[in-house]
Amino acid sequence: MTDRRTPLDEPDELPPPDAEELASAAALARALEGGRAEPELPQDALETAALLRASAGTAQLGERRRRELREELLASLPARARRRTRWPSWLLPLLPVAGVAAAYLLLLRDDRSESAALSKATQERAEAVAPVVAASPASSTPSGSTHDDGQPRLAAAARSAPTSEGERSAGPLANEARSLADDDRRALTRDIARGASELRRELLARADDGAVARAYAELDAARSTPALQQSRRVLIELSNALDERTDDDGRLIRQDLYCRLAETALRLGEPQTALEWTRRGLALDGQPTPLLAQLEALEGDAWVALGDDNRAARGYMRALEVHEKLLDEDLDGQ
Amino acid sequence: MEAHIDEPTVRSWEHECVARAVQGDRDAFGELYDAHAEPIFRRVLYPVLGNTSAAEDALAETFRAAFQRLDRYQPGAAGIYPWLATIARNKAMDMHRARKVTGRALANFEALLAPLHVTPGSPEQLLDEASSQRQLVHAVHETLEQINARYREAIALRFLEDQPREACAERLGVKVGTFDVLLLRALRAFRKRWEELRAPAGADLEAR
Repeated sequence: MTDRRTPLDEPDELPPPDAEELASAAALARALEGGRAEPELPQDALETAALLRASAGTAQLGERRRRELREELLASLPARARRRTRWPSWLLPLLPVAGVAAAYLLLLRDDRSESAALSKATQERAEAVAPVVAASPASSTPSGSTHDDGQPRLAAAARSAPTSEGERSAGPLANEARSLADDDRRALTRDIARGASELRRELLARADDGAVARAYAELDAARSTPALQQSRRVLIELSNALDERTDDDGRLIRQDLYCRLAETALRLGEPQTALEWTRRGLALDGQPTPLLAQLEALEGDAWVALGDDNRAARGYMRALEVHEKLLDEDLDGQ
Repeated sequence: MEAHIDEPTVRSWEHECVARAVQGDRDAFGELYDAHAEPIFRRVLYPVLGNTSAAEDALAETFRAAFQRLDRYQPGAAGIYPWLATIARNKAMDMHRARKVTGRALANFEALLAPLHVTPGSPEQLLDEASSQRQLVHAVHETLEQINARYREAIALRFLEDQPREACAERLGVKVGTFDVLLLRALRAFRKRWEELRAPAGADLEAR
């Protein structure tokens, strides 16, 4: 068997480093202490350091930390959707009455079907334009698209988009696609905002406290920057006051407040702040509701304002998915 | 997870927890978290992210996503761990993609670990934490023995003893800035030796 050892070939004396090495060493030292990734950061050395930390056990998830994370996680879990209860058998004799009711509901369904058809068309067109709209270097990864659990979803179209600079500036075709995407976006966000507004009305009607309703009325009436800023302060106070509530309505009202705060930030020209509010809202509850769709769409709006078409397209795609799911549930329910 | 608990018992407990969690029982989900958080953190997230705080964030994201998608989980012979590991890997890759925005220093060292991995043939092997950790510690010490003594000391002080850089510099009798350069060179020397020792046998011949 061959001895794979080689003589020690590294010098014991430290030859003077050049400017590049000094910068790399300093960037590495900062990164190892939790600093940000700087351009000079030597990735090879950082990887080796992480390997050594893993071997030393310093990278383990300690028992105390694990428990802390567990508490945070369980407290932040969204409520799971309630399962539909089965119809009791004694209702069977009432089927003829249900038939009449169904005929009535069909009239209502027409209205919904229009919305569903619009949304379906939106989806098809959005899928068609997504590769162009979503094209950006950020979506280019060696492993291609991944999903949380490998399930296919609409955003796959956006993620598998062409990525070169040449394709990004594809000229008239790209512009046309963008304009189509803008039309779709407007139709989609209008539809979603209507749904969120309906749910908001229901929530406020159920809530005993009129403070939120008053704050919303003031916000809707606010036109100047100081008025918007004042409304924002009130909304933040209200959302803080609701921190303790863990019931479904309390959580939904908070989520709605985050929606309104994100909208306000956008009106004030602060897209980065809007993103912070949408993220809080999205972290609060992941169940498909009109508010979730609204938050995703607002995230899309914030990315548009920040000039990141790729992320904007993904936000709208997620909004579209939630919206479709809600329409399906409505149609199933009827 | 204790080795003496037989596999069917573990699976049946897992299925029960999943069924309860799907109904919204958070305590049941907490039990799944207790069983799998640490291995997911150590075996999947930390090696892909190389950063404790990022790995903790990804762990929370992983279990949050798992809770929301639990009704899609199809129980298999290997239990829920591989499913959770897939979600975790995707979350970690998402964080790498977002690195430009977050500015986080992330370091995927899976490639360095790859030569040590034995392909798991059973759930027991998959969950055999102790043996893979022993293997890693052994490989690290083997490599350290073969680099310059000063480099070895710098690495041992900084990473194995987890000393702050000021203390390391003092122990080695150099300024902090000099220690930073020494450590950079030490890490590069370690990596070079690590890769040489773990190069597949005959790779150099094939390269010719």
